[in-house]
Amino acid sequence: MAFTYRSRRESAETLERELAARCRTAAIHADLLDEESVGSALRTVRERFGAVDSVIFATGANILQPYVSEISAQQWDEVVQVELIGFTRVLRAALPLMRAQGGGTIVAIGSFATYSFPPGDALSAVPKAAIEMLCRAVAREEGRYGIRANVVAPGIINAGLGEQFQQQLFAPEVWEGQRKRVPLRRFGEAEEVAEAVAFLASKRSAYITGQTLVVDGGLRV
Amino acid sequence: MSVIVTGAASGIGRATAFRLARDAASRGGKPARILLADIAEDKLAEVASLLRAEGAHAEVCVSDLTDPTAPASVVEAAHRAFGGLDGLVSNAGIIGRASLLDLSLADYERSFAINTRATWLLAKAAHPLLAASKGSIVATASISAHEPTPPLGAYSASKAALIMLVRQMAVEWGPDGIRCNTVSPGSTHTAMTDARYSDPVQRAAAAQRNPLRTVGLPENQAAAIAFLLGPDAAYITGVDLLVDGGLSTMLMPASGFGDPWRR
Repeated sequence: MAFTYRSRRESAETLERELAARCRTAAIHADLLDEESVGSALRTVRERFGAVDSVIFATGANILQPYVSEISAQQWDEVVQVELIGFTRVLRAALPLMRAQGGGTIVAIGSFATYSFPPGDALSAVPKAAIEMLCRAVAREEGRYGIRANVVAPGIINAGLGEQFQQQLFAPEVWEGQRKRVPLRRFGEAEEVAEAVAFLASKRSAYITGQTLVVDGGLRV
Repeated sequence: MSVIVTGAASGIGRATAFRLARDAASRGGKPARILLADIAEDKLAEVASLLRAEGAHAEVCVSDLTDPTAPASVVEAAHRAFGGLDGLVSNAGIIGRASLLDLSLADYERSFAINTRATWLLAKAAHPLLAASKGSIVATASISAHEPTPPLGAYSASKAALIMLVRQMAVEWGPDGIRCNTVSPGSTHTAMTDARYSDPVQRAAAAQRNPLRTVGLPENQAAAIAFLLGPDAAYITGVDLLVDGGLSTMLMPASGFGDPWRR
């Protein structure tokens, strides 16, 4: 399993050490803003491991929660470049490799916000919705080559940005109110999102493509 | 894991029972305990004996789900046999072929009785057991719940109603710790669709329409049902997962802007 990082080299090396006990692993530097850097990362993975069976796109820019009326063109451009255009750079590098090897799976992390929009989340949600559409396009165009593409759309999760937001954004009462709106009455764990990703990346989902699996404890419903 | 699987004598239900038995075996814990329900008594007995040969604890319950008292009897049989319940796979369904102009009242009501109402009655009867175990429910819907599929008017409508019924359950029973989801199969080769997909010409046409260029197997559906039913899906509730090879992404299948016509 290879994974890429841009600026957080120390975290990447820590993860590499932790994973080393379980599998062959490689932390590879890649900048999603740079097509050559992304292409080089994918080629490195193929050279080291012989194939690229699955690509998981889990990049998310660390962004504030402005209302649409407040978002500048530059802010849109930054997040769209990293997430949406970044994902297209990954696809441009990965799809030819997957075609040549007779198939593969792509899983992108989306957001439940596409289905149940929390005000202030547009900067995050709009590129995620576009990524979802891209996955459906890949499902349709590349299915004949044995390539599947799906999305996992997390709800409110006790990890990463979700955890950071819970500490820094809104009062605890607001989060308590949100928790009560979740049918399962709790926020999710990163591992629960990971299980859905692993399912969609594996042959357990051999006949699933072009789908979005929402992992939100029912919040969207 | 103690599970009820309805429509277990063939197709997706049968494949799900085997999948659950093998998943339990590969985890190396206790063998799966599965109550198999179906109207087809002989085939049901055969599935049960094959499962027992693989080490699963299989019980059978012959039942006709058009009878509104049958679902509670199925749940009671599982309770008696296993003492509790972790999962309900409400999979039994019927398909009737008739245009809406020709459809009889009896056939319409039969479709809704089995494809929709039975899931409500099974789930309602199983609620105390599932609340006690923090268990989960998966029902088999259909791609026809999403797209009109002539001449399956009653089937499509009953499956669409099923999806909303299960979402309703997800909201009402989430606080009890019960997860409720549906799987929507696309083209799948089962006894229900055998006339169509064992014909090479029709099978090839269906495969060509599909992004993955294949007709699905019951095992594909079973893998998705087992995932949603089990602990890997612990934070997933109220979803419908289409298992269709991408068929639903095809706005204009095999014509218009279809692939073969591209220069």
